[in-house]
Amino acid sequence: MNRRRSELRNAMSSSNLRDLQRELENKANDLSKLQKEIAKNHQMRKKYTVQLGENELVLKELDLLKDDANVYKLIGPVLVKQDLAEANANVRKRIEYISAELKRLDATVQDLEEKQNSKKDTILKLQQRIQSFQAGKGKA
Amino acid sequence: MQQGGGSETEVTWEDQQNINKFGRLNNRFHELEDEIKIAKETNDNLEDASNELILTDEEVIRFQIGEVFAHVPKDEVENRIEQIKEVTSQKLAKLEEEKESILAQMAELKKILYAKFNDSINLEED
Repeated sequence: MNRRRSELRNAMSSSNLRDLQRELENKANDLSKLQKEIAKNHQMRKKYTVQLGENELVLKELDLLKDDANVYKLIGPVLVKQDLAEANANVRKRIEYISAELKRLDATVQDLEEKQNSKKDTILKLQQRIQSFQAGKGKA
Repeated sequence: MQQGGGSETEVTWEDQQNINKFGRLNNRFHELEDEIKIAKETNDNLEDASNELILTDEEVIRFQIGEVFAHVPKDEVENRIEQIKEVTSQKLAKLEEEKESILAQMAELKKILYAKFNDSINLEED
């Protein structure tokens, strides 16, 4: 009778351990996805930062020009004459758009990093539970 | 290969060849997607350039040849752009055709491999 009970207890504990390990695996997969997402966002942020720098440089150059200066825009393989005021407005609009995108990306990254930290905590707790579980089993 | 809950299935030489082929096709598929994207962007740029030429008053256009801009008569630039557009469109059509063929081959291989390995293999993208 006692042997039957201990067998039952062992079966239950190994089943619990399996569940914990499965949960840990799922959480680790979630964390991996989050990290990929964060890396992707960082990459985009880098790209936008470079673009912002370039556009600000162009704006500085445009501000140095006289009103009657010739401005050209590259469209495909053709340089097309463009109105200075129009070029100025386009660049400013682009800077506005890129700045807004950067702000949005910053917020997204912050949110993702918070999620990542909470996931890491959960994983750590799960690992501790598994370790204590295994230690308990070892003693038994 | 991702381990599922199914029982162990023996992986034959032929299976391994199919898995390798699927991997190669998948890599080529992603390369093609990038190439198609670039070809489409090039086509759009050429279309924009054509439209700008219609609107411009200048008879001599600064046309990019390699690294430099040359002064080229407007009608010649129009002809050149049309030629480039034609070449790009043909290239795009070829790429799209190859992409369709690759997708069909991948679908066929998926069918074969999933039939044998069920959930012991994962051929899906992340």
